[in-house]
Formats: sequence, C-alpha cells, structure tokens
Amino acid sequence: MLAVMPARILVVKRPRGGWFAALRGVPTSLRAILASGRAGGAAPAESGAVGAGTPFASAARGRGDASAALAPRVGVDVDVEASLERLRTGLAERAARLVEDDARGRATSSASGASPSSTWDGATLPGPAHDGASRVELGEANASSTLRWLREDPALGFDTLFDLTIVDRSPAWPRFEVVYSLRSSATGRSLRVGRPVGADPPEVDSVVPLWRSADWLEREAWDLFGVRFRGHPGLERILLPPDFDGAPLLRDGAGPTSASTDRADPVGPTGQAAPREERPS
Amino acid sequence: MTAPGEAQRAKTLADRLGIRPAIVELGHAHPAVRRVLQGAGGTLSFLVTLDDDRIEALELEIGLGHRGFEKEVESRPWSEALPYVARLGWASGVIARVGYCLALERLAGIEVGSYATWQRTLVCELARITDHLARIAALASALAASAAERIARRAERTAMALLEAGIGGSPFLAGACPGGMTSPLPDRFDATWRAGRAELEGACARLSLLLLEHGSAIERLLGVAPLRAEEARGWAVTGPCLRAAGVAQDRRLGQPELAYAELDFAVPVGTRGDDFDRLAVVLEEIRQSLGLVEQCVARLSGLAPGPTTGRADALVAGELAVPAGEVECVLESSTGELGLRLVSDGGRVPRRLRCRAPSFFHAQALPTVLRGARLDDLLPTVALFHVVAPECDR
Repeated sequence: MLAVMPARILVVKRPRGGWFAALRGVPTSLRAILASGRAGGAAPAESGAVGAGTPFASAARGRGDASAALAPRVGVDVDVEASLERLRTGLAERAARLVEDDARGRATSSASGASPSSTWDGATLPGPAHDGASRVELGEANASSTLRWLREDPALGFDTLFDLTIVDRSPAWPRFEVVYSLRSSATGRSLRVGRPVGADPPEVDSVVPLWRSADWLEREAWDLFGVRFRGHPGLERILLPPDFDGAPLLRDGAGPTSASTDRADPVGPTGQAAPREERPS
Repeated sequence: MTAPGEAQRAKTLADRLGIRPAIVELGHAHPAVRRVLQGAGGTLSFLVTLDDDRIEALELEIGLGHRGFEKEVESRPWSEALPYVARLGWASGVIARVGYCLALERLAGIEVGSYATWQRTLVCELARITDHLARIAALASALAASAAERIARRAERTAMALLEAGIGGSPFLAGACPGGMTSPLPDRFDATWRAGRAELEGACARLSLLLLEHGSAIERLLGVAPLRAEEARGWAVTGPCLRAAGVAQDRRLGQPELAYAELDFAVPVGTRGDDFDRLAVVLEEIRQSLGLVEQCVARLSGLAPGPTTGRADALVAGELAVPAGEVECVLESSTGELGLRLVSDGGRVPRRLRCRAPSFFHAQALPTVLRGARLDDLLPTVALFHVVAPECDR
C-alpha cells in the first residue's frame, strides 16, 4: 500500500536568529532569509528545491518514493506482529506473573478467583480490521499490568492513547467494557484493547500514569457512564454541569432501545438523566 | 480543573511567599475570547493564574456547549443523525458528515459510486481550506493584525461560497448522505472554482507575507508555546498541531479513505511545534488543499454522477435495518483525526456512536503547552491549536 503513496513531506523553514534577523532581511528578500533557516531537529532535511515558492525546504520524495520516508511511522513492522504473537502464545507464563502482580492489593472483586489460564484463554487476536487495528480482549485480573506492558515494551511502544470509551453491554455481564485505542509511533500500529469491568459499582484502575491523554477521557467516561477510575488525579464531571444527576449514556435509563423504536416514534426522552442508583457525585 | 496539581502548586508557592497570585477569568463571554472563537461558533472559558504576565497555571472549562451529541444520535434512525453530525464543527462539520456516512455505508454494506467519492473528497478539502482560514483570521484577530484579519475573513467567505457550491447548499442542510451526496456539482462549478482559486491563492500569499514573513508577527509567534513530538503523542494531539511538532502523521497518508490514494499532495511538517510552525503548516496545508481540489475538479469533469439508489434509499427511508456490527472510521479533519465509531445491534437506531473529537485532546494539552507563556500569547495559541468548541463539547 505504501508503495503507491503519492504524498511528499515538506519541512517548515524557520527564520534563524529570531525576528531580528528576519527584520534585517525585510528590504531585500524575505524568502531568502526564511530559506536560510535551518530545518533543524531530527527532521529529514535533504536538499531539493521543490518548495522554492514557499517558505519550505523540501525533504520531499517524489511519487512512489514516499515509502522510504514514511515507513517508520505508517508501515507495518514484522517485529510488531511478532510481539503481538508473543502476547498470544506466551500467555501462560506471562499471565502467572501478571496475575501475581495484580493480586498485590489491586485485585478486582469478581475476578479474584480466576486462574491465569482462564483469564488468558479469553485473549483473542483477530487479524487487522479494515482500519488496520487489531483487537485484544484482556482478562480482568491482569488488565492493569498488561496495559503497562503495552505502554512500556519498547518493541511495541504504544505511546499514544488515541481514544478511550465505554461499551455498555447490558443486560450481559460483565456489563461494562473499557475500550482503549492505542497507537504506536515506533511502528505505526493501532491496537484496540477491551477490558471488562467486573466490579459493581463499576470501577477500574486509571491509566493516567501511563498516558496523559487519559485524564479527560476518563473524566468523560465517569461523567457519561458513571464508571469510576481508581487513582485518577481529579475525577470530576467534564461535559455535564457538576450538579447533574445521573449518567446519560447508560442503556437502561433514558433513551430508547432499538427494539422499541421505529421510524414513527423514534425519539425517546433524550436529554433526561438516567435514574441511576450509582450516579457520579 | 484540568490540572489540579498545577493549580495546587501555584497556590502553595504563593502561600509560602505571602503573595496572592492574580487569577484572571477569561470567560466565554469575554470579548477577546469571543472574537477569537468567532467562526468556531462556540464557547470556552479560561481560568488563568498569573505570575506577573506569565501564565503560571491554566484551567480550561469545556462543556458549556455540550448538547448530548452522542445521545441524540443514538436516539434517532440512522440517517437522521446527519444534521447533528454536520454541526460538529464550523466547516469541519462537512468532514464529520462524510465520515459518518462512510462508517454507516460500511456497516450497512452500501456501495458508493466513484463520482460521489471524488465529490466528497473535494468538499472535504474545501472545508479544510475554510476552516484553516477561519483559524488564521482568529489568529490575526488575537494578534491585532487587522489587515491580515480582513484578508483572512474575506478569503474564508470565498472558500465558504465555494464549499456551498460544491455541496449544493448550506453545509448544515446538504452534503454527504448514505450512498453518495445530496446533489452533484453544479454545471458551472469549474468557472466558480477558477475564480475562487485565484483569489484564495492571492490571499495565501498575502497572509504569508503579513504573518510568516513579517518581523513583528514573527516576534509574536516564534518559540511561543512549543510542543515537542513526544509530548504531543502523550496528549494524543493529532492534525496540524502534531505535524508542526515534526511528526509526518496524516490520516490521508497512512490509511487513505476517500480518493486520497490517487491524489498527489505534500504534507508539511514543522520542527519545534511552536506557534510559528503551526501557522506555517496551516498555511501550507491550504495551498496543498487548493491543489487537491484542483485535481478533484479535473477528475470530476470526466465522470458522470451516479444515482443514489437501492439500499441507500431504503436506509434513508427508514426501511433498511442496519445489520449488527461495529465499524470505526477515522478521517483527517481540519482539526485533527476525527474518529466515528458506530455500533449496530441490528435495529433502526444506532446502538452506540462514539465521536473521537480531536479538539477535546487539544484543549486538554493547552494548559501544559501554555505554562510559562505570556498572557497575550494565550489567544493566538488557542486560535492556532485547533480547539473548536462545538467539536470539543459535543
């Protein structure tokens, strides 16, 4: 796929020496000043005068040659496949360690009796979906440790929490699932990680220490679904007003189910708070 | 609110020294904030703790425009979500609407003709141009660069007129729909486009002179509010802000939706991720998008618009149930990567819509980016940091 990628990359040229240098150049040629700035940093700054009309140096590759420039970021690396394979095949021994780790004071209520093999048997790794993201289902007991491993393993390098959301599976149990969308800048891979929430009232460990972007995402999940995140630095409502009552995105409160809804009467009492006993406060 | 630790630290320090820090509320009704967010059509509120004129801590209040977007969509038949989706941003709502249609079509197994795909690509690029120009106008307003603001606002109106011509109506009323577009390009779109393009190119050149190559503007932009690449990844910042930090990540490159795989364009990246780089990236993206629209127009002139029929019509009429399943569509919006994840349980309304709004992540990163900056750098940075309140609040 990358071989046909037609795009190029331009690196912004910066005025060297700040505005003063730029000012001195004003009467002559602004472009000359801007073009004399260093591309700097780690950016690829190979020559080529494609960007002559713009304040850009061209680190450009022409059509069909983009793969070399882009491969580290958007390519699919074989090593990642191997790492993910390791996640699947090396389940037993790793799981034993992780569960021990997790059991140190952080074991969730309903999964405390789960054996390593039974929690890890649920792990599945289907092939890449249409958007290139694989999906992993975590067992409940070792989810925190596994997420930490995904973050810290240099071969995987999932340094971006691209999104976090909740799936309300009611009436199934466990009712809630936290879905983490991870991105790796080292490999360009996406991974979706599902983590069941067995506790009632729903509560899981916060991942703010691992990914900073989890801060507001977890606040939003708490706000709209009432799932609590242990260890979050400031779990407050974020989108709804502080005195709001309920968790509006739950399936059993306000809002119609699709079974009871047709085109003639599609709209339920939206905007109303769901009557929930474990409401966020 | 966003960083309780930071606010606490500032307070402790001030207590120890017996100083009361100045806390300024730049509320959503503050004239300066309103002016900058004009065009974004929304509200943000800032609580700034100041040390002299340096920003010691910044708290952002979002949610003032929260309208239960996800809940609304989950409460209506599939195709009735379109007007809500279109209001996710200013012009970028057009891109969101395309994304929703792509996800829905994938879920329902609806084929889209190549004319509609090219037209969607065209309106997405016009929307990007419009949005970027609105952002530059906001920046110029925050810098009190009135000439640049006037040029940018005028260019934005031109781009919006082109966008409306490409869509065939207001972006809130028409645009992408399941199976295609509500209407094909008008007959004389080529001529409209040629005139508009010349004007927009002129505006870009002048804006570049007035903002990127002008000493006093450079002084306000260079080195202000830098964001390093690894920080940006940690905050899940995407779009022009991430590219300004030196990461060549663009959804149109990696996993191209629409017709991007067949288009020739360049992706501008910066090196330091400061306001200067963000502006340079945005300006170059406008130029690149102009080239993309040109390519789309050329391609569309050789295609015949296909009719929207069959399953798509049935879906719009509410007669088609969408099979159970789950898809995610991530598009490169003008603000960043906009993710729409649709879950169906086989019914007539979506079981779940998750909207991954890039602005939300950008707003979250703002306090860190702006720590230590001057108060008068706040609004230019907000303008360039692609925080669109309606998208952020949903």
